[in-house]
Amino acid sequence: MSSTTLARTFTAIDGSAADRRSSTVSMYDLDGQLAVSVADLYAAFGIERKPEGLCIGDVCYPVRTTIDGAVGDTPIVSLDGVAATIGRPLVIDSDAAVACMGAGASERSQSLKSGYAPDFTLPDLDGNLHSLSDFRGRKVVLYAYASW
Amino acid sequence: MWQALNLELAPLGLTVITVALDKTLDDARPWIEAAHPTHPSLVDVNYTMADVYNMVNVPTVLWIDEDGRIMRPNDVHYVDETFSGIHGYHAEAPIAALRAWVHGESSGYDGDAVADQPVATVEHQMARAHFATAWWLANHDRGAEAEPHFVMADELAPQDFTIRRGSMLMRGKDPAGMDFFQMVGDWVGAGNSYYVPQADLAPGTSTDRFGKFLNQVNGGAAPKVALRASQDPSSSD
Repeated sequence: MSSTTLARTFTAIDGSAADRRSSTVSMYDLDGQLAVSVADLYAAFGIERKPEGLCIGDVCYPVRTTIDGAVGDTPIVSLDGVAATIGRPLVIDSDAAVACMGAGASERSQSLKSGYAPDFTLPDLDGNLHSLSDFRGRKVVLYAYASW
Repeated sequence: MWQALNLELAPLGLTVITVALDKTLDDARPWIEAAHPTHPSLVDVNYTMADVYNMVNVPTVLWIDEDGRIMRPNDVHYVDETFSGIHGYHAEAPIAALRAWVHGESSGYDGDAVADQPVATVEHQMARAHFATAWWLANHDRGAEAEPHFVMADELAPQDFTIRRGSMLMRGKDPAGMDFFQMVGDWVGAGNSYYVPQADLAPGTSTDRFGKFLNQVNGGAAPKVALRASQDPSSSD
């Protein structure tokens, strides 16, 4: 695998996070695929490159294809490879210099098919945060609407 | 009405949580303040609830028990009659069912809640990633760069109106005017459902009546205010 420095910064959006947090990452070229450092992968998307695979929290996914490279002493990973390994959707817009990785269909499905309501934390108008889990022990009607 | 139901049923162990999918707190503010809620009234500026619960439209309601289990999967409930003539939904059945559930007289759902909870496809999650990309770009005053991602999201998940209708304001379209009527008219006209209710409380409602209404307004003046208000959690409280 050959790696070169693109010397470009991208905005990375964690589309799986409720706050859609964004961060700036350096984007490299890894045999024609866009790649980020292992450190940026974790900082931007919360995904860890470990010997056993790619890990999100306690859940690890074995890596079945080559996704790794290096630029100098910096280990890098292909974003396409990461997305394919963990089953997350990846949007890369090179013109806009934006990369977004969302939540995968299987992650979301497993969560809902567990039968338990996924927890969430959202603000009220005063900025106070409320979580669904705050109301454990009570019945809850969850009602989503919009002003539009 | 949610406020009234919350007051009535809170002593029996129910909490109503409303979540506004709106692009800013201030978009949701007048609706929430008008309702004077004493229950949690939250705002979701990234529409993450739609992603996490695989919601494809508003309103969407779920009932969750004391242990956090989903007892009633994604459903379409209106709890007042203000605009039932428009959308074809009536409040009586869902309110009666809610009372029965809270009073412990029913399990809350006439079916298998786990099996009937809709889950997302790979394409839909890719649509949501494009939507998140577009949302971020639009929120950073990069609307021209956002637009192709909105288009991709629409194409990948044409059934998701939290995306298609919920992005209209960002894209300079009218989510309660002719842009909306045109979109839903085309969708319903092609034989699809605009709302996807569970069958036990809303047999035979939904698409037919709403489609009839749309045919009427597409040929005449659109009741813009009425459609906006139809999304209000507290209307005629």
